[in-house]
Amino acid sequence: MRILQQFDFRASNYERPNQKWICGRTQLGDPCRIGPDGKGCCQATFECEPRRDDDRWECTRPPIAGGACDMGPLPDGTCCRTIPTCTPRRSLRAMRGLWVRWATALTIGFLAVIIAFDGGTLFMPGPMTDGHSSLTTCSDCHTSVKSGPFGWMHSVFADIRPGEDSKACLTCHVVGVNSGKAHGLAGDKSAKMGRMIAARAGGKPHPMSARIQKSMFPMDRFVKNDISCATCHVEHKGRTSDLKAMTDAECQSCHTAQFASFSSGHPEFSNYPYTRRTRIIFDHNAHISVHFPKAGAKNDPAIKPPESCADCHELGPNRRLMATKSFDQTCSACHVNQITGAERASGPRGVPFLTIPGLDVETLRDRKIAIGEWPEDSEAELTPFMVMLLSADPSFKDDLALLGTRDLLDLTDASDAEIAAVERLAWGVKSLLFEMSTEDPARLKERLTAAKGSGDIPISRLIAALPRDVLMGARRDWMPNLAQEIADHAAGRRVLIPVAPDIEKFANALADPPSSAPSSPPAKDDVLSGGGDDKSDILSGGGGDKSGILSGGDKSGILSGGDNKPAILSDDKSDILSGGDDKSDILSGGDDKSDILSGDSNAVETIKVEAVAPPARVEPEVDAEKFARLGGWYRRDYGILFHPTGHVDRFLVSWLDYAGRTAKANGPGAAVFKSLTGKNAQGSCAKCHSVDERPDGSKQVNWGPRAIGQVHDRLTAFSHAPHFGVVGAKGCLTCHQIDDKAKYQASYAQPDPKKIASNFSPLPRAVCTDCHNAKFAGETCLTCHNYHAGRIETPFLTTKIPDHKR
Amino acid sequence: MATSLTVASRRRWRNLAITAVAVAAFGWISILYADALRQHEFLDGWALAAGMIVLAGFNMRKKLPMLALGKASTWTQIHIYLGYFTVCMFLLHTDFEIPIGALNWALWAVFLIVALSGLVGLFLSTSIPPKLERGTERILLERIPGFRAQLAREVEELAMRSVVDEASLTISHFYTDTLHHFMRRQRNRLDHLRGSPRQLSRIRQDIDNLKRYLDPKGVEILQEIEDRVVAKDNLDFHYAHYMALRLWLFVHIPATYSLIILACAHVATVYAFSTGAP
Repeated sequence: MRILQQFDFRASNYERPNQKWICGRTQLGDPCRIGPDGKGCCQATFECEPRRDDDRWECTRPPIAGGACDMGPLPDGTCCRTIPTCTPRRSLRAMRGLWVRWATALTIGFLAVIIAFDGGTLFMPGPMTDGHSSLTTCSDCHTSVKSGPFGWMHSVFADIRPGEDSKACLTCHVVGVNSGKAHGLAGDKSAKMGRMIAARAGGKPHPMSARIQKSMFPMDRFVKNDISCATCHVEHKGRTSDLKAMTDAECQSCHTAQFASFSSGHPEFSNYPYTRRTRIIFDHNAHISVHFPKAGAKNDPAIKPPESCADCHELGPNRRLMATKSFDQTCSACHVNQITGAERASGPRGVPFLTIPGLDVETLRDRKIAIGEWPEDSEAELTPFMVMLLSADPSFKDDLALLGTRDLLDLTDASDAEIAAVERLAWGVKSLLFEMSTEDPARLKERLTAAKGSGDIPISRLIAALPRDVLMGARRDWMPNLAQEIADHAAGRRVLIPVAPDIEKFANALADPPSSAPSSPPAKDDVLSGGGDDKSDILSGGGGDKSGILSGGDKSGILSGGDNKPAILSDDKSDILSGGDDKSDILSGGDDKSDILSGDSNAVETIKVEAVAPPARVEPEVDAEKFARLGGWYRRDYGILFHPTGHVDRFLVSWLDYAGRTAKANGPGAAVFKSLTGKNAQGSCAKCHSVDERPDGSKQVNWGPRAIGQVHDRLTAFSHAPHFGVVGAKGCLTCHQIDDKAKYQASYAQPDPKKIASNFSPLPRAVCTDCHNAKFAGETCLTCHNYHAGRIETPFLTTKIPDHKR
Repeated sequence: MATSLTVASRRRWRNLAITAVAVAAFGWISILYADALRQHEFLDGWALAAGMIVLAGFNMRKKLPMLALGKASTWTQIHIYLGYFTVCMFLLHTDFEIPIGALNWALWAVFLIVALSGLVGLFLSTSIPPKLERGTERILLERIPGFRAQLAREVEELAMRSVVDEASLTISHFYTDTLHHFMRRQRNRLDHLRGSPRQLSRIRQDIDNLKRYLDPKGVEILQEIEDRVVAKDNLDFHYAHYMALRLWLFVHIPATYSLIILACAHVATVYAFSTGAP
């Protein structure tokens, strides 16, 4: 083959491939030796630059270009061989450089277009999920990004604090106050749970990868610091991407107990799903083995013991957890009479609310103690409600402590200090009765608040619509001159205990009334006057306080026919001195004021008092307690009592809630709470409604079973409904095995709800792993667990009502 | 020769093994990183960026030969195997998925162009030089146009001489019909790249067929022409392969610059829109 290439400098050019431009004649095989300049301009002139030798010009063309030419230089020293000009071409390297510049320019142009296009939406790494598709501006979520096409550049250098963008998430997703904490749990609760699970795992070795991961990428700061939403929920992965997807490895990264899978290594359950005793005390074992058979044996068509679990339980509203049917559907048939007291040996009884406590009146009278009227035959005791209401007075507690266990019906050997305490106690009771019967019932709330009770329960529930008539009747019967006595006591006057004969004297005077009334209109302070404003005269029958001895208005006069009927004249309202509703009787003080003793000035001139035989009306004896067995207020002896109206009685519920909050040891509500939850308490609330002790020592009555719709703070996401089809003939018993040895009732003898003895055996993990394994139903963490313990909510709209003027 | 091939082969396997181990180790760390609730895209993204910087440094190394930055052959080896590593990091970084956003899609596409062109370049750089070595003469690319023009002139002169000396137009007609087209410029580039001698064989067959119609002097001239035809074909072979060795860089290097720009924009946007999550 012909050899073309020679490297002798005389036979070959020196190649410079790194030069940007090459001669345009290169492709013709005849490039000039000069070549283009650096800007690509042809520099061709002549083939050589002649050299002057003395007076001659010599050709200097190099041998590689053919050597000295025959013609030689022109006389003026110019080369005679002109090189034709060319259009220089870029070298390969220069061409490549040009391509680089074009590529760079195109790339920058491309970036400019996507920055400017449609607010930079082309910058987005991908579409957002459908749920977030309405968020069209970057700064909606990326809080450090400013508006404008280049606003994002600010955030390149901005100090982005972890969790800042999460605040934008939390405007639509309400996760709770601990949103940034692990699992949304407060404080170190998640760490405590971790330690608990680690203890349950029993120190099993962790997988190698988990150990390496922990050493390389410790998770401590995740637990200590706030976790931003985007740590787990990564957007811009497409419209249908799953924002909630998490791998088991991610879940386990923080956990102290790490394992291969649910079926292999997952810690055993401990007492699952029974983490606390049931709120309603229902002994499944006792009912199934004893009570239901007994009830069935009665053959009472009204009582039908349940035959299946579904007779009492149903799927809850969220279709995950099981709920208990209502009291009326399940318990009422057997238990409602226990609440009303119908089944009690002592019969239905009310709850004493207000009493006139029995005092040794004789001793007090002898010692000239000024407590005014006080029923001598009362043997009642102060009720816990009164103690709570009277506690508003700071001295009351001291007096109560001073009196201690002293029998107030025997004060013969009482010291002066004790007598003084009794006096203050008596005036306290009187003031309470007076206040309750005359002032706004809302004032009662002030007493409770002053007694450091919690004040968010409406007073209407606490007094259960206590009628004023009941109070006024009690005043009239027990302390007819209460208003005057309170006024005198307030004015600093001593109000001594009336002597019994004085009262008899008044009664005798009444038995021998004057035959006619004076002809002139009585002065308002006359003995029989009833027309004056104060209406406090002996025979007064007008309005106002109506506390006169013969008063017929409020029936508190000596001759009145009040409810306790101790008066001379009965209250059938047909008696001669009655002031009852028909107001037609001779001494009536009713509205028409036409009776002889009326305060009406015209009537007294003409009407004489005549002995008229009372109509033959027979008032049957009615036991107030029996009368009130369906519920409500009534008086008995020297007490005002309330009989529960049935299940969910608002009076009992309200007082138990109210008193429970202050029912710590020696707390103001402790006595009330104890009286209402005792074994023989009316309503028997605490028989079924368990009482929990709060951390601060106060008490809480659990009025219902777990509120299924409100259960959100759980990390376990078990759902009953999908399992109904796989439990087979054993049904509920597949998982809920009755433990007939459990001391269920005993667990309620102590206040801690976490100490339980469930009727059911804890669920073994093996029951779950039968299906939940890699082969069948899956065993990922999120199959059974939630990350967020709390409920994720969307805040409700705050739409303002449109202005109608527009 | 056999020994050097063995050494090269051993080095290749060693480097491949190191690369595979590095990829596996880094992939595992990346998975652990993601499992630890960190965004693995930051870890393998910065690894990818670092790899790209080192890879681009090879070009700088060639532009700055005056600096003692190591041997070019070492750089080449690093460039090749770090390129493999970077491709793997790229796949990890993208979760083996095609991105959706315009910027990321462009970045993904350009990276793919750079990577594929690099692989093509690697293939050409390893397969072509031995082919060039196999010929009798290895000619510099820059001199090929000159030699081609020289051969074309000589063939034309021989054809003219045959007319003058032989008073025959056989060779001149053959020249004008066939050889002029062949000799005028680069021909049969794809055939040369494929290693096919089809075109040269066809011309030589034509020359052989023509010889039966010529006298000895004409045959002698035709023989000289055939020598130049073979030389021209050798020039075409060299030219085709030289251009192949250089043209892949016309894709690889400009795309690399685009890639660097897009990567910078990508990093800026990632940090601009970072949520502060680790």
